[in-house]
Amino acid sequence: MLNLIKTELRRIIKDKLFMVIGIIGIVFAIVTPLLMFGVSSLLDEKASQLLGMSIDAKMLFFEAFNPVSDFGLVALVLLCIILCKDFSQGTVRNKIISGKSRFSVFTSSFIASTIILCALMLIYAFATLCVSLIFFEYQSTPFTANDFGYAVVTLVFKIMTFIVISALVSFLSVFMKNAGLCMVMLLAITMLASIIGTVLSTAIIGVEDGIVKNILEILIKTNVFLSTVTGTGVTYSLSDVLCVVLSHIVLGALFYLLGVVVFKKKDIK
Amino acid sequence: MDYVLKTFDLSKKFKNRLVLDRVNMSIKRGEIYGFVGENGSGKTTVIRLVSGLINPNGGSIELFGVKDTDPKILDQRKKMGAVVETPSIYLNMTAVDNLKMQYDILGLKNPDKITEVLEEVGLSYLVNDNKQAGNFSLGMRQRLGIAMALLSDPEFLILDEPMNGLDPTGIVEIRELILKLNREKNMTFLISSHILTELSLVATTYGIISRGRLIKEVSASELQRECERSVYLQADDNARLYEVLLARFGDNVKVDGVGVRVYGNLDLNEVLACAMQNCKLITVDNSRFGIEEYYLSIMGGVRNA
Repeated sequence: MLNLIKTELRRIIKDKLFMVIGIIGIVFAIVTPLLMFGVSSLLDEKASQLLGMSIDAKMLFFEAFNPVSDFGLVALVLLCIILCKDFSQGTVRNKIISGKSRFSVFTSSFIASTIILCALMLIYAFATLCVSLIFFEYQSTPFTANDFGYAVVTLVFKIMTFIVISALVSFLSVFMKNAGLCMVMLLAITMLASIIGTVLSTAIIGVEDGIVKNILEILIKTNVFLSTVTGTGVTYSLSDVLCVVLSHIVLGALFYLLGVVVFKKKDIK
Repeated sequence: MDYVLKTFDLSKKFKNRLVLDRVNMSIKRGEIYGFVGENGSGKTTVIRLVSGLINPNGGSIELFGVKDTDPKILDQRKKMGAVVETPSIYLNMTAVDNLKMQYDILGLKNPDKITEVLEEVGLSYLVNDNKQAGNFSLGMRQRLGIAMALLSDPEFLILDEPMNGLDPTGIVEIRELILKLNREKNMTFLISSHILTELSLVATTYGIISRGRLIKEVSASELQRECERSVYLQADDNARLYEVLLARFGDNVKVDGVGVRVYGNLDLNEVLACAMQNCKLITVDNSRFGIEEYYLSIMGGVRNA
């Protein structure tokens, strides 16, 4: 299995597209805080309050992990193309013919894509944070030990999100075996889930306390693709943690198992 | 008998279309098995099934004595190499990098065999070349694919149309490589090809497949005997000639062009007597004929059936 993971990592890193994505990431990490600085300097305090916007380095840092915004989308497209390339070039055959089980081929591909996706997003987010700190404070209040703890837990949640997304991409790549179809399906799923989450987040504002509000809250907190669930507050409640952890584990396991089952039955041309 | 591969009633359907119908083939250790058939006859489907790329809808495969239902089949697959249809190579990598990737997949430690296999397939000039495989000619890709398959020192090598895209020198080199590996390492081969005359220079056994059914398995020596022991006849009424000979000699009689060919270790006088009792013979030719004529006569028989 380790050999296969190593092969997959080498395959992805050797791809020219990976280098292109790296350059795009650097550009985005510089341009995004710069643009936000421009926007914030145009808005006076009153306008910022009216729009509900308070731009700081913390917000830009956690927003950088959003899988359905700027670099997140680019990274997902890269993953789809690179994973499907193994089928389009027929190189997946080398692993099967060499006596590797389909389970280990799929699992190694999933692990390698998770490592790459997490590494890309972490590097991008930390680069964004570094550039943001030139223009903004980390947050308007002093940075405490609690803030550090919150940031660490948020990072863990964000990584869990990328594991789920990687499982979804791995499943779609073996199911579709075509980069274009895989991308369309992935974007449709992630964006639809994100839009539903945003709509529910807005709808809940007018709902009175009760069972409906509780259900809506659970639906929002368990939405893996809604980036505002994590990283937008100052602390997590126990129910927040439970909802986030359970939803990620269930969804991640579901996509992974679906991928294993589909790949075991799929004919490889 | 030590068999490398056996298939038992192997069947495969693609979207309810039966593309392989109860194929029973067997390949002995040390054989060079020439797999012959027209386009779409099912050669590559058999190869894919044996390689584990697709799953059968019926029947089973036995590789080195282990059934495909046994999890140990994966260990047996480590003893084989295969180049199925187009070579599976990383187009954005050099030849050496491609071989290093295969080394990693196989879990081998020291990439010291890379130069050796590149030399074996006639690509030694690529050892220090940064040219990416995407810029290789079809023949170079074919050779690289074979080199990758050879890395693990397989006991059984499957080559699907290995001469595709090769120039005449390349064809000779690959043929000599096959014979050398078979002779020196007792490597068993399953080679599918359309170039029958080329195949006849290496194959020790032939499997002839048509419309998803294996219609004949014959050793090269048997085939040679059959080619030598045949007589071609033409008469004033060839349909009548075919009928009477078929009634007398059964499956040994095939339609061959406008005339009829009778195979096997038969008494020529007996054949001629039978024919002349019923028709007026125009042509009698008992000269030797080649594998292509033999193949066409069999395929003609299948098509007429």
